[in-house]
Amino acid sequence: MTDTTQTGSLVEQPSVAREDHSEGMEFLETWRRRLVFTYLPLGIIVIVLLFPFYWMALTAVKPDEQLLDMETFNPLWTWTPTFKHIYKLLFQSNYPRWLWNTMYVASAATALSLFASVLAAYAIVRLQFRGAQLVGGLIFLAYLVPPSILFIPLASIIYQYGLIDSPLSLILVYPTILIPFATWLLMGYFKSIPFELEESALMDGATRWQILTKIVLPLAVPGLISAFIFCFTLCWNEFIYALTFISTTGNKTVPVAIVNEFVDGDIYRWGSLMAGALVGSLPLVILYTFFVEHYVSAMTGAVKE
Amino acid sequence: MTDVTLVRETARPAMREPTQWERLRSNRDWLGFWFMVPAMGILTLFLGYPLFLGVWLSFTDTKIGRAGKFIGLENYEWLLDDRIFWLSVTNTLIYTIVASAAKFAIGLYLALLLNKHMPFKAIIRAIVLIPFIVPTVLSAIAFWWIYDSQFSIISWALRKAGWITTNINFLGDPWNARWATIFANVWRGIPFVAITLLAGLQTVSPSLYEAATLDGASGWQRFRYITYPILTPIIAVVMTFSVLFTFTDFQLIWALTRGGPVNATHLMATLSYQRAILGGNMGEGAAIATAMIPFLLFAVLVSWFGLQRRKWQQGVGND
Repeated sequence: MTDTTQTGSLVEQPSVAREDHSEGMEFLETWRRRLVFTYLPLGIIVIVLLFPFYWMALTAVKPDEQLLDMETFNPLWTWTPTFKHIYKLLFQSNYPRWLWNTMYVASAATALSLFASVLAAYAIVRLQFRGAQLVGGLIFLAYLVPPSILFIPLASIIYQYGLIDSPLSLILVYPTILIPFATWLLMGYFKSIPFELEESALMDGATRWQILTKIVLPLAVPGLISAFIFCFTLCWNEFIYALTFISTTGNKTVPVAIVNEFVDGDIYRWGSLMAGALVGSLPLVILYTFFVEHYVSAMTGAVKE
Repeated sequence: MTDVTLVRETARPAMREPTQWERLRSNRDWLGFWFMVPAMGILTLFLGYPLFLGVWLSFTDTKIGRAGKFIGLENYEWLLDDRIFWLSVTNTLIYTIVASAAKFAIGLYLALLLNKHMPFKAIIRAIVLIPFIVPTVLSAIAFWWIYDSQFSIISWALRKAGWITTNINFLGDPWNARWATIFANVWRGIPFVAITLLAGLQTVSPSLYEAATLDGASGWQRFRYITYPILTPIIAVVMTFSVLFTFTDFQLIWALTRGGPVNATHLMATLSYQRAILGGNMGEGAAIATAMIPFLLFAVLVSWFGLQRRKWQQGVGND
């Protein structure tokens, strides 16, 4: 466990540097200057970034009559919140089904990707087999291939395999987005683990598999968490493959279902639409609040490599 | 030392020759191959192969439910005369250039602001990332409601302020729709740019700024000659990704406008979806998707090498 925290602090070194930096010369600025040039623009940006979520949440709990009447009611607030939309969503629609589909596909695809990525990253970094550099480069290139140019041929491949309209198709295809990212992230973590640990294990007669599961993985837990939540978020966010491959209402994921199933002629649909968007975002936001640091290190770590 | 001599004196079994299997099991190439199988298997089957298949499909007249035959460049010849296709190319270029520039400028500015010392810094940084966490389609739906032609909150606010008298038709007018989608894309992309650049900023040693200040450097000079050069490599990577994902954007447009009004916001990705999946012309859709590849290569090379060269120049000191 002590080792785990050690690698953890290794990864978060920049935050130490940041603390040093901040002390620097900030005393030279007056508070008035800071207010105008730092807090004011920062405040405006944060408000703009958050407003759509506020609007989403507010619309989800507004009673119908206040939704479209902007003259008699103040549109920016409601004193009579209702859970009607959320109740309808959870108990009178297919929404729980879609939520379950999304969660199932995201978990399975993430697990599959992490398994493949751990093996690949370890092999590239530590086994140093012939062509390891080349394979590492190829995997990075795979990261640069966007789904938008793959979905048409993939649709025909999935159709040939008879997987069309099945969640399994998404579980198999999502890893193409996740593996390149997760492999590069984990390669960074594996490199930071002292080679001597593995050498001494080899001397003691451990096999490569034992080294990987008993030494490397326990030390790379922060990296695994980062890779896991980032992959999970990417799956949840994925749209074009799910839109192309899945056609049955019951098999859809939340993003696709919201766009296709909730858009009817009902003028009051906004309440349930926003409730759907809100409930669909909450699992990720909750996950995120618990792992902010891992999330940031996943994002920056993959870019730094 | 005593231990060593002890071991030597004890009779020990003769060293057994490792069997072929044991040799193989510790062979790096052999092990490496098997470790790579899951990752390379998935990537080859569902990424490498489709990439080639996509290019091949673009040379055929495949329709949904019917295998096509080779027709050479016919799909591309059709596209050359297709006004909607060229409109989508123009749209994609405008969308990518404007949105990426805005994301870079605002993202860098936000990163510089966040790099200052302030209370609740960790919380503010966490909040800034939220637009990146929430699935794009779900926030796009929120924007759809914000951009509603009758009940837009923006129109309401501007009307209350007395700046406009009639509601703005955000998604119904070609240029309004373009700006609205670009704004939503920028909104979604800023956190990624800001947080990754912030990570780069945090590696800059504070003593550099102190030294520069003592030498009389202004705030702009400190940014221009210290921050920016140190940040260029990370800017190159971040902007490459940003350009790439903006150019191939699909979901934001599909959720907001589906390419409308009158194709004014069709990007190449949305047009290829419409032609291939909704229209059934897989060959033509594949041709549009394949046409994105040269643009992508160009964009990646420009943003990559353009910014990398600056780094080399700094190395020889003529920047």
